Amino acid sequence: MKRQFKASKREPIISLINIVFLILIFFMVAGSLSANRPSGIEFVQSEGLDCCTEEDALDILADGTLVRHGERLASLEQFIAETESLETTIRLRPDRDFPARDLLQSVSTLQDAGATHIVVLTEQAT
Amino acid sequence: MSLKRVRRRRKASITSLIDVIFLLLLFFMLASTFSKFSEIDIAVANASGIGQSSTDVASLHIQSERVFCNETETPDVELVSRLSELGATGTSGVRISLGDDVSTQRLVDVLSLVKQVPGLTIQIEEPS
Repeated sequence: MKRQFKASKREPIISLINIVFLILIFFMVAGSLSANRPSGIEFVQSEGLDCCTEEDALDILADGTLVRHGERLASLEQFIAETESLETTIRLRPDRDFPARDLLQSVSTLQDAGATHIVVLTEQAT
Repeated sequence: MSLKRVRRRRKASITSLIDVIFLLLLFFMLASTFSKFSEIDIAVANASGIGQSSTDVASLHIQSERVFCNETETPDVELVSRLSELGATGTSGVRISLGDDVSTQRLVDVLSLVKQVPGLTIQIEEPS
């Protein structure tokens, strides 16, 4: 018996490209590129708060390490010294397991240095 | 003599096109995130305010598992209705103090509950 050799069809591959393009466009539009999030931080989860805010924040890891723009800071004093204006909103993004007492102490230190508006960033739970 | 060179156009390979598209797709799948961030105000009351016990300020003591509202243990689910009742009877503010071993997650959970009650000012005591 002779096997019939079929000419390869182009249609399946074009529909494949169409679908891949669709997925590509979805990720480009719906996702945002993650900017310098430190590894090993689990954000505080929240529901029902107003969405959405800027991500430019001072990260506080569970062990109290301060990270800003991907770089470790030695102390809160260094952050205060490097911040141009404390009058603007100061954003803190602590780890969910960071002790709340230590957080309040940090907030208090910032307030003593002249910060007027301090907010804590929380990740929207889905 | 004709100077025209006859060029035969080769068909563009579809495989390399797919390669590039897959690369782009991989990049965006790995690099993009979908998490959105909200913010919640936090301000610590200075030491001068502590010690004033006025009747129109309710006290809220947060522990890792429990919340005490005016010294009475209140389940988390009843906190909003309890504070609404207090707000209807003249309470204008809440003073929040922290127990030991309270995580930031716990504090934010309770704070977002308290924020659901309109018209209450929130003060957080500085931990000693």
